[in-house]
This record gives sequence, C-alpha cells and structure tokens, in this order.
Amino acid sequence: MKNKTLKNLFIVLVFIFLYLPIIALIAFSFNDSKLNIIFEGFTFKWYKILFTNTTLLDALKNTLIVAVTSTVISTIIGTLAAIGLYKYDFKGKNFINSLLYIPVVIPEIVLGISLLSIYTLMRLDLGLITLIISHIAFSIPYVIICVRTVISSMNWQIEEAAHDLGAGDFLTFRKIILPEIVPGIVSGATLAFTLSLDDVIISYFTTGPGSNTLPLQIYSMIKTGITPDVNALTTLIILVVMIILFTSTIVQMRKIKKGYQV
Amino acid sequence: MNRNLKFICLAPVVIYALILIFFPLIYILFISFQTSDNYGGIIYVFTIYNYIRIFDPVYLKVFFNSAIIGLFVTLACLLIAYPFSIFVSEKKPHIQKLLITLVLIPFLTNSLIRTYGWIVLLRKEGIFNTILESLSIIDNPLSFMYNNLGIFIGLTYTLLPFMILPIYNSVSKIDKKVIEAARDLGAKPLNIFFKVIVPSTYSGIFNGCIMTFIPAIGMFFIADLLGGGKTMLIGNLIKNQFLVSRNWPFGSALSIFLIIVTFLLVRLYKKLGGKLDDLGGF
Amino acid sequence: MVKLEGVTKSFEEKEIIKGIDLDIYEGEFLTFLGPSGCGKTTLLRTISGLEAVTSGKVFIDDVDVTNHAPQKRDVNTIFQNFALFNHMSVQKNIEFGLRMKKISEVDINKRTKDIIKMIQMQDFKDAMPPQLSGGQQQRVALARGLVNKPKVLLLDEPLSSLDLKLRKKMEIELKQIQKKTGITFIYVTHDQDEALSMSDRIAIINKGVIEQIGNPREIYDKPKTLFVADFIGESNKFKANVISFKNNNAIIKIHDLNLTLTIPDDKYKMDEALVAILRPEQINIAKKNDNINTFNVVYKERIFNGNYTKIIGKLNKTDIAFIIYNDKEFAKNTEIKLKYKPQDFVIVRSK
Repeated sequence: MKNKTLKNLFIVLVFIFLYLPIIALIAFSFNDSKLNIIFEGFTFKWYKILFTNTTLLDALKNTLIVAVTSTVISTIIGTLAAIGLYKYDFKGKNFINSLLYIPVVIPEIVLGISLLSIYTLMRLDLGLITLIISHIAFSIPYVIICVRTVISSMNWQIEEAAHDLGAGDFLTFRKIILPEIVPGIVSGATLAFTLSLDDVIISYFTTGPGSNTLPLQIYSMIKTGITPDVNALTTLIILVVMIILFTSTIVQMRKIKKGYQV
Repeated sequence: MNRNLKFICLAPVVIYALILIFFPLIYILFISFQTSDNYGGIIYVFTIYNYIRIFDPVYLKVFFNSAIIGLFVTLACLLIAYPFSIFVSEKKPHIQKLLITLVLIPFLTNSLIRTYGWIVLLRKEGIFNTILESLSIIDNPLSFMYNNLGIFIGLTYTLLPFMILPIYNSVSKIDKKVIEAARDLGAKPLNIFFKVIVPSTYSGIFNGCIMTFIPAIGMFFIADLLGGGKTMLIGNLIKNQFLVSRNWPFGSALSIFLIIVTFLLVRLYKKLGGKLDDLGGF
Repeated sequence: MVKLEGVTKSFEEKEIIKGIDLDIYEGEFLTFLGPSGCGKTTLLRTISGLEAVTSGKVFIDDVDVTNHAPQKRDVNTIFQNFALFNHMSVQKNIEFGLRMKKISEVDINKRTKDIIKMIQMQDFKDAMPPQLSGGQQQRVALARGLVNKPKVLLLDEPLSSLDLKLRKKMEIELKQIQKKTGITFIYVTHDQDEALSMSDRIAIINKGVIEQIGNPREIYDKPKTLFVADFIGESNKFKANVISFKNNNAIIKIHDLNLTLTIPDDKYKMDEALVAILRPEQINIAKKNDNINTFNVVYKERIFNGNYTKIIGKLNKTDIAFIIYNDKEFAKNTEIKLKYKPQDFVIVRSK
C-alpha cells in the first residue's frame, strides 16, 4: 500500500515538472504587472492587448498557414508513399527507404542548414514558401511511418476481395483501402501538424524577413523584451490543444474501458 | 491502370527523397570540402582544412561540453522516464492512455514557448527565487539559469517525452506472464527488475537515449536562452558558422561530423535489435 | 462450367503449377485437396483471375477468360481469413458486389435481404465485422460472394480459422447452401475430412499436378498413387515386387506376407518395386481355425478412439494398424493372428 502511494507520488511529481512552466505562463497571463515578475492582481487586459498586437497575430497566422499547408501536402505524399513502398517493387527502393529515415534521426539543425544551403544554391528567396517546403521535408517520413504501421497490419486480401467483387483499381483504392488506413493517416497528419507547430530549429534557418512564425517571433522577443500578451496567446493555444486532445482521449478511453471490461 | 497507380504513389516520394534529403546532404558534403572566403562566400577550391580544423582545441572543448551535457541530460531523462513508465504501465489500460496523453499535451505546445515558461520560473526575479526569498530560505537570488544548470533543466524538460514514449512502449509490451514465471521460479523483485524487465526493454531504452542525446547537442536555442550564451553546444557552433561567422564550409564539415556520430549510434541501436520504424517513439 | 487447358504458373522461374487439364461440371462441389505448398491455392487463383497464368487457357462457361481481370470474371472468392471490409456494416459488405454491377436499387435491396435471411443474420445486418464471431464472419463472407449469383464460387480454405466444432457445423451448412443454390463450388483445403464429407469430386494435388481425381469413395478405395493412399486415410503398406508376367497380367509377390497376387499389367517392368496397401479396417483378428490369408503381428500399443480402438502391432520391422470394435485387451508382446482378403489390396508404384 505504501509502495503504491510512493509510485503515485512519483507520477504526480513528474507531471508537476512537465506542467510547471505552462502553469506559470498561464498564471502570469492574468497578472496585472507588465514586468511579469510578481503577481499584482487579476486582469484580462493582456488578452485585449493581444488582439491589437499585429506582429504577434501575423506570426500566429504564418504559423497556421505553414502548419496546415505542410500537413495537407505531407499527408498526401506520405500516405501514397507508404502504400506504394509497401505494394510495389522498383529499382532503388532500398535506397529511397533509407533516405526516408534520415530526417527522423539526424539532428534538426543539420536538416535546417542543408535545406538553407540548397535554397541559396537555387536562389530561392527565403519566406513562407521555403518554410512550407522545409516543414514538408521533415514531416513526410513521420507520416509514412504512421501509415505504414496500419498498412503492414492490414489484411491485404480485402483488396483482392474487392477486385473479385467487381471493383476496379481506383474504386478499390478509394472505397476499400483508403477507409481502412484512415486511422494511420489521421495519426500521421496529427503528428505532422504538431511537429510543424513545434518546430523552431528548421524554421530558424529557412525563414526570411516578414515571414516569422510564432516561435521565431517569441525567440526574438525573449531577447529584446517580452510582454505578457505572449502569455495570453500561449494560454489560448494551450486551451485549444487541451480541448481537442481531451475529446479524442475521452472517446478512446471509453473504447479501451469497454474492451477492458469484456 | 496498375502502372498509373504505382506512378502516382511513388513519383512524389522519390522526387521528395532525392531533392529534399539526398541532394541537400550531398551538397553540404561537397561544400565541406571547399574553401571559405571569410566574407560568407565559398571559393571552389578543394581542401580538407575544414575537417582538420574540427580538431582545434577550441572546438574540441565544444564537443566535450556537448557530450557531457548531452550525457547528463540523457541520464536524467532515463532516470525519470524509466520508473515513470513502469509505474504508469501498472495502471488500468484506460488510465494509462490518459496519463500518456497528459505527457504529450505540453509537448504539443511549442518547445520555445515552454522554454520561455522556464525563464519565468528560473530567472533572478523569477517565481522560484521570489518564493524562496519570501519564505526567507535565501537572502540573495540563486542563479538557476544563464549557466549549465539552466541548459540542463531546459534540455531535460524538453526531451523527457522523447525518452518516456519509447520506454513506455517497450515496458507496456512486456508479457506480465514472463514476470510471473520469473517470480514462480523464485526470483526476487530486484532480480526480476534487472534480469527480466530491463533486458527486455533494451531497445526502448537505447531508442530513447538516441532520441534524447542527438537533439540535445543540436538544440541551440535552449543553450542560447537558458545558458546565456556562455556554454556552446555543437548546435550553437554550427548555427554561428552559418549565420554569424558565415563560414559555410566549416559549418558543413561540422554537420557531416554530427551525421557520422548519429549514424554510428543508429547502427549500434540496430545491432542491439532495434527497429528503425520505432525511432521517434510514435 | 470451368475448363483448364494446360495451365502452368511460375513464380520467379519456379514452376508451381505444372500443366493442369481439368473439366469442372456445372453445379458440382469440387475440392482441390493437397498438402500446403502443393499449388492448390494458386490453381484456384488462376480461375478467379487474381493470378495470371504463365501458359495455358482458362474457360468459364465456354468463354476464354485467360486474359480477363478478376473483376471481369463471373466468379467470386471466399477468402481464407474472410477479407471482410471492416469499415462497412454486414449489409454494406454484402451489397458491395451488387453495387459494382450497377444493378437497380430495388434489386440490390431484395437480393441482399434474401441472402441475409438465408444465412440467418437479420439481427446483425448493421453490425460491423469486428463485432461478429468467427462463424458469423464466415457466413457474411459466404453471403457476400453468393449474393452476386456467380457462375462459380471459389472457396480458399474458408473454414481453417474456425474451431473444430464450428468447422463441422459449417461443413454441413456449406454443403446445404451449395445444394440449395446450385452454384458450382470449387473448394480448396488441406483437410481430408472436409474434402471427403462435402465434395462431389476431389482432385488430389501434389507438387503442381493432379495426382488423382474422382468421387470421395473412389479416392479412398482405389488410390492410384502412393501419395494419394498416404494422404487420404491411413494405410498399411507392404513392399512388393513384380516377379513375372502372364497374358496381360503381372504377378507380384508381397514378401512380408509370402503372398503372390495376379494383377492387371500397367506397363510394369520386371522386378519393379510396388507397394500393396490395406486400410486398417480391412484387417481383422483371425479365428483359431483360419489358416489361409493370415499373418502374425506382435502387439505394441492401443489407441482408444471413442467408437473404435486402433491396435498397432509389429510385423518384422513395420507397424501394422487395424481396428477393433470391442474392449479386448492384449498383454505386451502377445502374438496376434490377423487375416485379410487378397482382393482388398490396392497396388501402387512405390514412386
């Protein structure tokens, strides 16, 4: 019994460690003091100021544009690739397969500078476009891994069954294969989206003037002086993430609980 | 018909892999053998000077610092993540799911934002010092950051989920019957832990260590913000070569060096029976 | 209904099907029986079109379909692990084939409803496949094929993932459905019990060729090769040699029994090695005064099998199995006198 209490205490301590900085940020988004040091009184004023801070809002907009675009594109390419690499053989397949692991294992900074190098070589202006391309570059392998997990555990006879029942190639793909691998695609897309929102290092090298993303904007603000409206924005973002995640977790928990009782 | 489908599936990924992975890496390999003109340009004269320069004591010190900090961070993450994963895996399945999601939530908000959260907590006028001072435990504020301690806390915090996920995955896959069998055969708890549980999670442990150590030595912004620029990690060095000193050939040589270290670690991981698909822990 | 002409199939230089000619009649239940890796599933897949033939021709209803894609052939397959579409309800699974044929909505509804009723799944028509039991999934898979009223239904070891009891029940159901619908069934299995109990005809396949084809009784009673005799049922095997020829007959000697038999000559060579086969139930315990067609074995062990008991005895160095229907006990190493009828022997070549 005592053993169990200690174990639970450890779990709680880890969670305190994980949530401490976030709670600090949230708490100080309601702090009246501009200096962000001591709690001087409850206020919503930073939320009002936030909506007039165009630099910050622009950065948020850029972040979302990059995240959504790169997620859509990398999910499409990644899903097709996972299917193609599973089903078809071609010359150099092993080579392509090993290339795909590189973005997962090498340090982000190396991917960042190597992309910066070729953008310079190709004389591409750094900006939203290069940012999106870079995010696609590091997301695709993760999407492939997620989709491949589902594909390799799938019963591929359903494809033959569909042909056997009279469905052609494209119809089989759209009506049978695609719906079966939706869970993999969803987890791949979620991962791509999260990685894009989270990225600092690769964005740092591949963005240009006027296309700051939120993390980069905050990075420069921390160096020059930060205001609590950043806390306010962060609080809102965390709120959105929490709502989305909790709904999906509760749905999944119910499923697991059901299975557990049976 | 089938050929069309094959083409649609494979053409994009092949183009992507060649243009956005293969070509950039070959290109920096190429640059790393060229000469810098010291004004940000590249003179196309072959040299191996950039690789010799890596062994300059100034840079060796950076490698040494990075390795030490990286190892400490990896060890700290491991010591937190392993018991945590074991304790979580003893819960009911739906509670496990909830707890693991709770681990992921902070990770879904940007790492830079969370680093900023640590600044709020750790700096001289920060929450920790304010609390300690108001409780009269200390008279003068402690230096939690702008030193190696700050870097250590920031990296450990940021990379902890990367250690928890692979370890939790391998721990939760242990067949409970194996543990029961070991107990049945007379093994004591400590023996069960070191002889049965730990060996069957080696690949998870190594996976977590790679996913912690490699990013740790590259995360320049944490060293920048929480270390106050006093300690340089390899990441800071590469960043400076590209954006400050504008010596791309040397920066490229450093990157190639980092890639080689990474691949050696990954090969070791594969030798220990790890699967590449599990790297990243998702 | 289905005709195969010199069908061969190779995978990477390795010939899996070695030139098969076969006529399958309308409305029959034909089984391809053979050990795993014999090519029986591949042969089935050349009929469904899921595998292209390397050479030879496939006809369905006198139409050459050799180059037709599976979706263009009027056959349907029931897969080993059912291959149900897990994201579609039972009803949607069953409708799928009809929808591909672009039949009127009214027809689709009627045919689907009828078949769901036939497999007694009315209460489960909106369930998703993963919620169903193995037997229910099996029925849905069957209905999904049958609803299209194919000319031929191909079944690829459809019962192998079910447990024994359910398998026995489904065997009966399958046979009844086949009779009721009158559709030609081509069934693949490695299980001889399934084959013997359901089939009108059985084709024994070994290493890519048909060793023998015939009704279950013929296959069991008159195996043409040692392989068939070994594969179907249990056999007692006695070594024999051709010792002389007379008219159109060959005279052979079974050494262990010191018996000579006259059999029709099948282009045997002098001294050729043959095997004489007796089924365990064709050997009985001899009475005291029986003197001809008897031999002695040394009792080794008994295997109780419910309604009969199998006794194993030793004749020189070979094990001889025979069946008794009572509880008679034998002491170890007792000599047992057994008798047989010479006309029961089936003679096959030893290779």
